[in-house]
Amino acid sequence: MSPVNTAQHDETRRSTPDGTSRESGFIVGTRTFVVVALLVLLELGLHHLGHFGWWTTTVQSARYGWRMLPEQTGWSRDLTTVEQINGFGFRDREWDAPVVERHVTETRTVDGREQTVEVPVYAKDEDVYRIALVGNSMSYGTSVPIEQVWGRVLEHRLAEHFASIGDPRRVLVMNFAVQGYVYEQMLHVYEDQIRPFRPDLFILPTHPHDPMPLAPTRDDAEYDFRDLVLRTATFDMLSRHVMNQWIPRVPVPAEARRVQRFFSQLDQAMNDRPFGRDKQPYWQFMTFGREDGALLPRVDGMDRGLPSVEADAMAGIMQVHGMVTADGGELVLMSLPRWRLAFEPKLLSTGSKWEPLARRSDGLHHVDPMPAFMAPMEPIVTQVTSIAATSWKRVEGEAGGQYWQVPDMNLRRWVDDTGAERSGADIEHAEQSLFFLDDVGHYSAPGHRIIGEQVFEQLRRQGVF
Amino acid sequence: MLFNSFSYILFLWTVYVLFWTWRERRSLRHVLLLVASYWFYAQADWRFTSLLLISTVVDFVAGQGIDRARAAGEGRGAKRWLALSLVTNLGLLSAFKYFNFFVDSFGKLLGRLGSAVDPALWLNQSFGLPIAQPTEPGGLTLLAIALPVGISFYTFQTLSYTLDIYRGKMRATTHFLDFAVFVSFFPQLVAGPIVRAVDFMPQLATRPVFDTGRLGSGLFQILRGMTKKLLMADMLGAHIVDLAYRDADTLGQLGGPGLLLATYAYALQLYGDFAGYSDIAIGSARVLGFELKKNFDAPFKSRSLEEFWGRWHISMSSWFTDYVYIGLGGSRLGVWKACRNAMIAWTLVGLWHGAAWTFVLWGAYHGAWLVITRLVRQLLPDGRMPAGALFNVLGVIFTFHVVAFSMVLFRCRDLGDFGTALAQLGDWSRPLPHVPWQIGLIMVLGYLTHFMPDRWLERTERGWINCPAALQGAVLTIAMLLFFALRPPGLVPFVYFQF
Repeated sequence: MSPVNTAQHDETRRSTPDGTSRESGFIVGTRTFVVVALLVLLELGLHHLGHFGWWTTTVQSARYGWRMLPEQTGWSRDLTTVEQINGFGFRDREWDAPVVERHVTETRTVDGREQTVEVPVYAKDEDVYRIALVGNSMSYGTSVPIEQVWGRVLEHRLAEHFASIGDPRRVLVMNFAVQGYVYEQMLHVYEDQIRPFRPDLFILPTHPHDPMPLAPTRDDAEYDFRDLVLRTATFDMLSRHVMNQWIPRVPVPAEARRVQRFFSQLDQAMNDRPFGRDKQPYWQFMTFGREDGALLPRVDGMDRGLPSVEADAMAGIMQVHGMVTADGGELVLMSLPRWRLAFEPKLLSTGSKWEPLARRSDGLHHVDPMPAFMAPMEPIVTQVTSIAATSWKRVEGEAGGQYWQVPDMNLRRWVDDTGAERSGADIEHAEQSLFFLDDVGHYSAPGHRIIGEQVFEQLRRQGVF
Repeated sequence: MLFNSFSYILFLWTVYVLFWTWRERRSLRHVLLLVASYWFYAQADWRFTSLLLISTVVDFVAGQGIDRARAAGEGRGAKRWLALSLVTNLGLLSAFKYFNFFVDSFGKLLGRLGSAVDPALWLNQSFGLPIAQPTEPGGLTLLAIALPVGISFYTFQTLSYTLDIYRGKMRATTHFLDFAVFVSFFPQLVAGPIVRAVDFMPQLATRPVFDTGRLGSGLFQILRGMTKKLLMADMLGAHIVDLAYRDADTLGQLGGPGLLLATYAYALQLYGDFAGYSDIAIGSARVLGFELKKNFDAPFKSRSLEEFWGRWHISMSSWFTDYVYIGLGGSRLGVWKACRNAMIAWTLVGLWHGAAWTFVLWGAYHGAWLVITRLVRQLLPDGRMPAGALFNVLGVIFTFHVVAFSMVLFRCRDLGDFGTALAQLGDWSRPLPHVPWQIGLIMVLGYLTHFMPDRWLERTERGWINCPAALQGAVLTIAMLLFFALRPPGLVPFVYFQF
């Protein structure tokens, strides 16, 4: 056999599999066109005809639980409001990035070893009075246009006030709220995202559900063009109708299963004594949260027992208080009014919890808009109470061998004594409700206005402005 | 950049368009392939492109040296040039892949013999090699050396070039650009198939002819590969294999039924992963007008282990057969030496796969079975295994289980885990682990399609090639969406990247 000669380059035509050396077809043609056209048509069709990909999107995050995808525009879940998410991943206008003034050297313990690291020190813009707020949907402004959310109301009121007293500083209220966040997530946001902006005031709204610990979460898998893909209607359709329906979830590792077992024990303990004296502010959530599949995964991390969960939340808040004051700012704890429908319709607040703490702590203020909520809400709450007593179906459960009954928590639709179907809009004075009557977990625009104004007034009275 | 990523689809499409646009201009075409290949390789770690370049330059020079020496009748000169190529390539491989393994194993051996000498410490103190870091109390830990992706593949590929010139099978090329493209050709660069210069270089010397049939066939191969990888291998890996082999605890709780399930799943996962990669590599090359040899040929249909190695990772097994087994004398020197040669070659095959004793044992296990097969055949009247449908079926079942058993060793992290896995064979009281029905279906379909007649696949491919381009485009779109939606979350790297 003679050796293969690769030294020559005759550039003869290689033959095709059918033995000819004739060229056939176009290099770029029908296939490419069809692939691109189909993908575009599918995307447009699903978006406009199938109503897919209309909502704002989140990604899973090990540190934050979940985060809003930055730079996106989408509808709120009830399709009433367009939400614009800025480049930092928050529902607000675009912000200038914080400016690094210098670096300092610090010794930190990383993976059990002491290491010297360069830490940036951020500049404080003295021309701007900066307020940062965190929170969940009640501060995010679910179903409310951004201009009417309480953070923006506060910004306008304070800007007017500064103008009236001749303070030349510009007022900027930065809204870092994300729907569904609890303290643990809010505190991470403060530490990572807010500190570099060096706000003058940091507002931490509090809600009875917020002491819940964050469930263990992993970062969403990374892949090329992920942030682009997540925004598409095609992904939304595939996610809802293929991935979440037909593809089994990869089983969780043993340690996560252990956490889930703890949750079951905790759940059982709460069921055993639902009205016990040692109940925590969020026990109702635990009891009724089981009916809401979307909420359950978040409480899987409750493996440390009831009292320690709240103690952890308190410790976290005080840690932030330390950071805020060290940064030269002030912390405001705000008690968010909440309308509870279960058992008996009632307005609740965590005000009594925070006021004594604020009184004895430097650089800590407390705001409670609850009194301003009572007058406009009273006739509505009274009506709903009477409806609950007669018309609502009751949910029965067994706890510790005793039966208990609660009204179903639904104001969207119920059947009255005459058999007629009714909804929240049928309630008298519905238009003055500070909560949405078809979604009592969130404030209406008037509710946001009152909160914004109350924050301004109460802080002004306390001499903050 | 992984084959199973959106980036690769865009990358391949771009290279395809430019390549065929410049098909009349050889230099431009080859520069494109070279730049694209280095860029592709640099996505993993740009620093390792220097190793690729070193291997390319040394073997190009050595090839010419061998060729000149042979032409001048200087046998010793040719040997010297060959030695340069061998030392360079095997040196790179040893330094990056085996150094820690050898130092660590040697240290343990010395320790067992009662010596207090620590080779890592000695190298560190005598030569100042920064190979270890101090640990408490007073010990040393070897620093992990990053393994350049694909080094086992491209070093063997370039070695085949110098070895073939030395053996007189081919002449050295005088075109550095062509040779550099041969070494770095991106479709097969990081995980094979291990292409021989004698097969590939002549394709570079001729002008490619664009043909829609070949394009269709290439796309078909890519679709096949993606299906095997994303819908079969990754799903079985995530839902069965990775859970079973997570750690010694999970292995210890498997029991016999669980181990059996995990083993069947892993056999299919490993096949789907690597054969899938090879299919995508062959398809990508075909789209660019190049033909790479088949690397997998329904290996679980094999009736004997010899046949299996003619169907599984064909380019690697044939490399070791040609350059190691035959190099050692093959079967020319009698039965016993043939057996010795087989054991050496297959132990090296094991070591090629990874720097761990599990891989060495795995290779030796295959070598031992091949030796046993050879000896049994010697005892048979005409030196052939019995034929007939029943023997064929029994042969397939037996061979599959011999191979599947070895995969337990292949998958275990160390010999301790392998011992734990073996212990499961004594516990059949545990129930079969729960497997979602979708994953069970994938496993059943995976094996069914594997055993379907070859002509069915050929007919499907012909049908695909002959169907209108618009229809092909529609199928490609749907396939892309399904691959995206049905795979486990994220991008799962190919198993053979670690080798």
